[in-house]
Amino acid sequence: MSDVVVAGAGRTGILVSRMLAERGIGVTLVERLPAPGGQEPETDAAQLARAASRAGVRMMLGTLAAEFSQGQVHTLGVEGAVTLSADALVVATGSRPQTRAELGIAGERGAGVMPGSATRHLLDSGVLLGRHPLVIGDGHLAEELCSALGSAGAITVTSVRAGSDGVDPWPGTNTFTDARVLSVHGFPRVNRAVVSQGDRLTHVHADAVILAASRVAMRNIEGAVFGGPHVVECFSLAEPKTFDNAEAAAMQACEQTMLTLR
Amino acid sequence: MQSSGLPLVETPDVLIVGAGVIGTSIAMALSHLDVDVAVVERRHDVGEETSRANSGIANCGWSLAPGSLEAQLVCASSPRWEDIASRLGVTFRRVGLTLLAFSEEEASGISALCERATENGVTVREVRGDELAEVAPHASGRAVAGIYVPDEGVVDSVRLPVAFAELASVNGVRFYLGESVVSASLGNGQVEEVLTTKRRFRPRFVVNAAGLGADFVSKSLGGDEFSITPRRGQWVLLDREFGKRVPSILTGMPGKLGHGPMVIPTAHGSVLVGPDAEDLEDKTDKSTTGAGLDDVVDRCRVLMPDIDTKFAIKTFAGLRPHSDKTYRVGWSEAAGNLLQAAGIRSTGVSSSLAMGDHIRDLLVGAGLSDRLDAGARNDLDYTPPLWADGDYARVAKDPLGRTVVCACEKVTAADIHQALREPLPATSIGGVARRTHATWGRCQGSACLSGVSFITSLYTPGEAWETPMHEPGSTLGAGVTTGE
Repeated sequence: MSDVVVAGAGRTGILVSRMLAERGIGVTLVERLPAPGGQEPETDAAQLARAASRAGVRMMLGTLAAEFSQGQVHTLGVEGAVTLSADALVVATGSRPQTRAELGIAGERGAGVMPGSATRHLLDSGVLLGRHPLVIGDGHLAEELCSALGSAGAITVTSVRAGSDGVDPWPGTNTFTDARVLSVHGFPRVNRAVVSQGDRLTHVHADAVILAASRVAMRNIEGAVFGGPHVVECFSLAEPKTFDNAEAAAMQACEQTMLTLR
Repeated sequence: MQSSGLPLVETPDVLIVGAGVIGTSIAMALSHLDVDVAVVERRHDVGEETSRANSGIANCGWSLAPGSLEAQLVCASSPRWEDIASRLGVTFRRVGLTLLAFSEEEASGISALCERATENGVTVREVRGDELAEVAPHASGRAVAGIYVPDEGVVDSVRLPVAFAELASVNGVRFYLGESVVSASLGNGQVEEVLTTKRRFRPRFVVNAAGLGADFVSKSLGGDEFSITPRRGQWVLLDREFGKRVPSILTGMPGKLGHGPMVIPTAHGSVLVGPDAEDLEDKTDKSTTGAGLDDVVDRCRVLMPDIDTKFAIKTFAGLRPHSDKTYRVGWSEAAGNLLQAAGIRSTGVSSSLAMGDHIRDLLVGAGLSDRLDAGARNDLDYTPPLWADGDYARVAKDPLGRTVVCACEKVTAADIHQALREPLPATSIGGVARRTHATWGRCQGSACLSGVSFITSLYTPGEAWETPMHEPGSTLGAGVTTGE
């Protein structure tokens, strides 16, 4: 019997684990967080995880898949350092917003430039990121953060979207479309952003710049960051996040894994 | 004499101004003597200026002007890296460097550079053809010749000043961070009293190791007048996975503003490309420019065509203190007990080990006691991070080591708590990042910034939103959430 390690117990990772187990593969599902469902917990995760367990998937929660090399996955977690043998590694480690470098935002290094994913957790912990935040992004995360910041006490929320004219501005936001942030300024905290729309530059007062632009795959397993012969990527990056999209990505990854094992 | 309402609290034998890699190395060297030493630093943490955004190269001195103080100190520091790195828990790798020439015209400069290396006592050799491909398999095939410098190394230059300062601190040196020199009073040609934003010092000797601010500090202390201008360098950091293809440093023939951009493996396996060189006026301008970064990448692709920006993790800029005279190191002509350690433009890390001893010897020559402090330590209690040795079993022995907070850099909760409890602890999220690399990886804190902030906030005063990112005022948030 082949052994496969699936890294990441978001919806997609759980689904692909179950599919592989149902095909007779020995599957260990490794999740960094103490519960299944991923960083932005999906409500159906617990139920999906139970189904996967019934199909024979072994779960290791609170455990990071740290490195894949020579048919072994090194993990670090509540059970200590555990090495798993794996004929293939399925990477289902979810997504993240683009970083400042990926967005090409130049300028000063003042505080207040925040990844959107961290913003969500900090808001949940009672930290208001800015009174005049600027949110970069077009997708669900950006929309949700614009709304969450507004109800958490922000006075003005600026939304900078790459999408073209005709997109409906989200309620309560000062919206720039067809736009990108060129640079941010201010030290020790950010106080201004330069937004470009074609040739037009606008200086926007902003005391926080939230990076919530298009989701990209979160890759952080050493030896598998840029793929490899026994590495199968399983990312569902389409917006919005739906069960159907996750299932489609899982099915595709399952097929690919079976091919890899052949 | 001017008067001040500030209490006179300090009468150290030596007051060091500046806690970059030079100031901290001097502090460490002096900490082995039975003398009283204090350090003042304008920024909230040690190593916050030039010392945090540099190449990490520990130069072996091969290309420096023979006989210069710079060459002497760099050459004297080079053989000591392995020893100091193991004692302080700083990662060092002697990776080697290859300088590439892309035409026979460029290659005609090779023999002069090789002779210069010989004068500096450094072994290098000209390489061509198969031998060039062997020592630098990643170099462009268009290179016609090169110089191979096996002794060139890379060090974790971000941790280096922290480690120097921590050993100094363990040995009794007092660090006053977030405190600037305001003025001084002189009498009989000596600095008598130094006023900072928080206290007064009456030191026997003052060492100016203020880096970019050394001109201002010298003037404030009544010392020599000179000017330091910032030379900005922009960098792109590439992922460790790309680092596997970069076994050693690549550089081109030197130009007017020093070496052009280089391809540099870092001590922890990632790759730096840069820097460019641009003389500025504003000493705080650490901004990056899109055009500058593109230019850096293009020029480095000449050295190594495989460079691909899909591996880019982050971009940043650093300022090097450029002075009319490099290595302005020695006694001030204006104030007899003021020792300058200034104008150290681009080899501060490389010369730091010997610089500490050099300044110590100058002070001893002027009457500072050379009696050793019998209780002084030579090493630090420090648990290295996972990336230093990849030993999962070692890390898992500590229950906190089993919780990986930063998944990209594999930084555990144990590492973060250590950074906040060290002899000279991190006092900001940035300080934790500098000591651990947390939030510095591929996702740039997307997954871990909230976790790192939470642990840091347990150690810093105020509410969670007030947790500093770096300098005072750099709060994590703007206030407390309302509503719901």
